[in-house]
Amino acid sequence: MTPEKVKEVGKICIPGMRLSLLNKEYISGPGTYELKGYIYATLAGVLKMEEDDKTKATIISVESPRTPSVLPKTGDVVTAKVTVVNSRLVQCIILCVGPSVLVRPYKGILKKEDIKSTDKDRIDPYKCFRPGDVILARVLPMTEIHWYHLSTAENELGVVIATAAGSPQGVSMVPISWSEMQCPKTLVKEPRKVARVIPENINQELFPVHNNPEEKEKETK
Amino acid sequence: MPLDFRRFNGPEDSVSYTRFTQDFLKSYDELHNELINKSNLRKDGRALDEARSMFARTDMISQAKGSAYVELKKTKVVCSVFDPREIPHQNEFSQLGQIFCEVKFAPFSCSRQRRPAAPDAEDKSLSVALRQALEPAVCRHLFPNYQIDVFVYIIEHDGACLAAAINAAGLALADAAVPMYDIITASSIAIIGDKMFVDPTEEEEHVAMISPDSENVNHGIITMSMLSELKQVSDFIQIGSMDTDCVIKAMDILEKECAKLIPNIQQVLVMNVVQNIEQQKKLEEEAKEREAALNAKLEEWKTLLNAG
Amino acid sequence: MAEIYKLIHPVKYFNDYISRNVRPDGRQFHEHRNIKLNVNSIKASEASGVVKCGNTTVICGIKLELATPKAEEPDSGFLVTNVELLPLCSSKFRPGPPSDYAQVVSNIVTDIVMNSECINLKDLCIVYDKLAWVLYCDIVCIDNDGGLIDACVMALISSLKTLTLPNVTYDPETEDIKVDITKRSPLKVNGLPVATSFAIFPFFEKSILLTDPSAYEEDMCGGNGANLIVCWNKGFLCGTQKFGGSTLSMEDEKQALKIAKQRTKLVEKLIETCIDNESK
Repeated sequence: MTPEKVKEVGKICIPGMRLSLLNKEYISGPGTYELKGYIYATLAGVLKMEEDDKTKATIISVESPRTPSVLPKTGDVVTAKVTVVNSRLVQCIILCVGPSVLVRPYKGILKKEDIKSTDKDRIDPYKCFRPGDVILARVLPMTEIHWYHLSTAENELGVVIATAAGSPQGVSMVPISWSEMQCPKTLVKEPRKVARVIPENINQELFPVHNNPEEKEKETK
Repeated sequence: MPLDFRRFNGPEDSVSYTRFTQDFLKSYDELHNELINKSNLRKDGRALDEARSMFARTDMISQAKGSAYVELKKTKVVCSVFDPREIPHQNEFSQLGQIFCEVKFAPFSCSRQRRPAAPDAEDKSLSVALRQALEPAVCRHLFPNYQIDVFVYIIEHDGACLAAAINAAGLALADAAVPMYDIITASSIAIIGDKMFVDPTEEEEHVAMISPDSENVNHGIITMSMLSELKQVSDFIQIGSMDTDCVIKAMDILEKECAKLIPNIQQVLVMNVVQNIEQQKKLEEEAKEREAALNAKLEEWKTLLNAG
Repeated sequence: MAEIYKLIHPVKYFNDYISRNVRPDGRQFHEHRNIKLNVNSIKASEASGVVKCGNTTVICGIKLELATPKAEEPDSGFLVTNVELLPLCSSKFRPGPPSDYAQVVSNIVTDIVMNSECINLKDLCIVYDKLAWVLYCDIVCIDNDGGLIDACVMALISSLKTLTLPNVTYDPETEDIKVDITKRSPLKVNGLPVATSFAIFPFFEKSILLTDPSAYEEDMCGGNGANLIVCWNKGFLCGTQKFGGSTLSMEDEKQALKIAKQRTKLVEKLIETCIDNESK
């Protein structure tokens, strides 16, 4: 590889590289750590310097070309797939944290009372989720060792992709209200805790233009 | 030894044929004298304080998050790192994440005997040594209650395999984007009498581990790993018997050897970043192309639908 | 974004590609991956072969030992082949004793070699009822990206072909064994078995045959490894396995056999060229 190509990419950092002084002007961001008045890199990646609007300080961070090996944090919105539903709770596996895909799925748990913010006593998990549904949820503070507690008690959180019972794989239902979804093929209606998907959200990518060709193709036939 | 029912086993009384060759019966003195020739060079033409040149590369294994391959002439080591996962059978909350290391020799890696397929004591002790060396280098507070798997496989063993394993693991961890405090490098030295063999081969290690007939002769192997930017020693293993002066002298040499490896490792990591970024760009472009193609198709159908 | 789509809608993602007559890695349905072969790169073993089929990497090393032959077959030696699926080659394998899948792979490879009769075990006997060679062939997988058995068989055969046995003298009176490593004779290998894997993907009413599947394609077609393995040796079939997956029509099966035969020719040529280059 030629040196020109290396220059094109930007300033490359590797772990243990001293990046700058640590003071009011420079703050350590993701991918860095502080030690004895200096900021060092922890990842191999490209150096990013951004100015914070409030304090006017420069945040120094290192961006890795790969997904960093990190775990979901409290407050993150995650994409998860439901695996088990019972009368008290819903178990799922976490697939993505924000926009980054996890290589290894982590276990998540959604308690009955965390499903909706209203009508908490009358929630029936069976009427909100089914195994196989893809949901959006927020991570709650961690209390157990290997389970991430999740919550969908927000309008924007809940089921985004679901297949009706008996429909072929890959045909997802369309939301028709905040609590119901319908299959476009079999016209079966099923109850779900539906997420209100706002455009410009990452979830838009989950209903991509890709979906339509085959379905349309069948229709035209 | 109990029979391993999960593998195909050979006959129980089989012996390596090297047992019947003439070389097998050499005495200690013969072996010792063979190591260095008259012009003070080792068997492979190196001077005593000359290390083998290291070849390293990352991204060897497509299925792993991060991986590396390190070659010191005949010593070949491959390492892969996977994302954090749950610690099995753990029921206590721990602030720091753990590193699970497994070092294994290939059955055909050693020229002396065939390695058993099941892990033996040497595999286990190398695994522990590797874990201890890596723990201070990784920001373990970022993944509490979880463990990162580091698997090292020694394809061919020709001395200094622990040092090679640590170097490979350091590269693989950086490749997997596991946050680390510093680059980790390691080097080893074999001591036989008053001679110090930097980066020893398997033969030299073998002689260094035999106790000589005369007493009070220094012999043994030292492996040291360093975090060079932070000037910290992350692991130090000394096997054999030697006096303090000898150990101190060996540490000085090892520190220099570890520092010598840094530019090589830095270069590999920089190239790794550049390659990854380029690959990412390529993937994005491909995805865009696909999307454009699909969009075009969709438009076509739309017009068809409208017409019909 | 493609990554997320692949993770959340696996079936649809794959269908998208198949409906456009292309596979996710850009290959045609019947196109196999590039094969790289290197023999005798591991000097610590008697003979070795490193095979790369696309990303799949497999190393085979042979160790030689001496033993007394079995009482029931006093004129035969031993050929012990084991396949080791290391935890480092894929996140699916855990450290510890070999999994069921590893044992199945081991068994298939052994069956192929034994059925093809490419090694005559009688050649491995040195002295009747007293002394015979034991060939420990250990095949390890460094990177598992599908088509594992193809790579294992190729690595094994290419290392067997380069194996030379040292000269052994046995004194029947003193039972003294002497090995002279300077004099070596090559092992006789008859034929050259080559395996070809296929995955069978159910796509609407028909099923689609994918040659030399990657690990992702194997997963999509029902899980544990390839669905169909065809093995040719010198124009004869020496093992055909069909595991799970979708149903396969007669025509597809015929086509699979044909493709496997073509690929066998190519692989034979590759192994022979590689060994020729090495011995020069």
